[in-house]
Amino acid sequence: MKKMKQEKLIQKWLDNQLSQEELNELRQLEEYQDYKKIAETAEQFTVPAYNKAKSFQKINAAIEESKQKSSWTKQLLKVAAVAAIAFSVYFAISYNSATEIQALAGTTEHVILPDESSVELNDGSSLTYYKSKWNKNRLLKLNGEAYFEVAKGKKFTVETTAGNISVLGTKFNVKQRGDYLEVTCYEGLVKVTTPQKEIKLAAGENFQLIGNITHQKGISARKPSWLDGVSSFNSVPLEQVISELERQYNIEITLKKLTFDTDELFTGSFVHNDLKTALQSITVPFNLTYEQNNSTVILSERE
Amino acid sequence: MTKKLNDNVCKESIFAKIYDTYADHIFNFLYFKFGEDLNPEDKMQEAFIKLWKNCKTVPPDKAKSFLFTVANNLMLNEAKHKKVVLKYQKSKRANIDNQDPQFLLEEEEYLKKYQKALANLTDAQRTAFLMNRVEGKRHKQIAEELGISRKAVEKRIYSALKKLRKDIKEI
Repeated sequence: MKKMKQEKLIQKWLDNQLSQEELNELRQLEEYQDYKKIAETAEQFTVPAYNKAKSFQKINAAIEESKQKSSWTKQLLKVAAVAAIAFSVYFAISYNSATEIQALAGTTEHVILPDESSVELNDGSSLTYYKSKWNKNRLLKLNGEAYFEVAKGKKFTVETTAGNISVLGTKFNVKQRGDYLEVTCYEGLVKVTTPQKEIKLAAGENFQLIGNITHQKGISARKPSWLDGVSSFNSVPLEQVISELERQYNIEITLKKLTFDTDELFTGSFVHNDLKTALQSITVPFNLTYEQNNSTVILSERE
Repeated sequence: MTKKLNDNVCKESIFAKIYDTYADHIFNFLYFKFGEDLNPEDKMQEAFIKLWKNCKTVPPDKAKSFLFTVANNLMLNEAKHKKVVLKYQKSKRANIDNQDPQFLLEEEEYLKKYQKALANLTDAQRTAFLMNRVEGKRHKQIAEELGISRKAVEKRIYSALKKLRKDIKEI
């Protein structure tokens, strides 16, 4: 009990809360003189001096520095974060995924490739290429007909099931329907590689592959006529002409009672905006008549 | 009242005022606890820089305890296993009266013992004891600053006193 009281007294003394009476009591204590000396000596252990104002300047300098740093690094980080997200989303969507463009029946599509080369895709045709690999390898797959204006650069290759066409910057038209392949070069030089052979086409030259037979001839047109809404044919089998007409007008054509083969060649053209005129363009030279029933057309020989 | 709510440590005038009020307290606290070798001035500055960086989340009335906590934590990373030696000032009493050389020698001896004994205290005991003795802070204030109960402060200071007496006698 006494010890408890003693402790309380000392604690009060240390907190400067003793009454005179209590102080007198404390003085009776044997240890008091020791404690007093210890308590007073402590004051000799003052803290070292430091320059308060200078310290504050240092703090402000550090804050200022971190402000500037953080304001532009933060901005930069924000921009970088957004860019990173956008980039990864873009990448996730476009990387490795093929870009495929289709021109539906009766329509044409204009495609700008990553290198600014342009492609006019004719109806019922499709074009596939890989954006991510484009810089390394200008390669695209064509199914159907397209007119290319190739920007100068590395080798540019058009793959079709009937053969490949590669160029270095030129204007050319490729038409592939089944195993029929026709390439016309309008500018520059084009190399056509088929399973059978390799041909170089200069400007103004046309190449045809019908089955296993190849033809090469000169043309005078400066660009394919279909770009202007006309399909032109130069010694093309009738069946090719008819299927082109079917695609262009999205119709079905049946041939009845023909006394000649459908690989009979046709030279001429038909327009894309008037079925009647187009049908006449084809039927008259072959001495055929036509019967139209909605989207079905029956061609037969004139009696 | 509303103005107080709007006050923000981020405001430069308020930050400056907080510095003016607490810089010494933080400095002393760091010195008492960790001694001079760990550069209390640098650490004090660091604590205030940290306060500024958190100025949006720390309301002005919490700034003090934030500073003490941060200062303490900053030192903890470096202070491990280091013997704390505090410097005393010899001259303070020398001109009170004409003391004979024998007394001065004894006094010098005593201070050396005292210094060793102080280093032997725990960080907690020494800090509380010196805040009370050197800074003259009341127990209540110390409790508030150290974030402990007043009872704990009383206990630390009292046990520091007892331990100092014992050690000084033995050394």
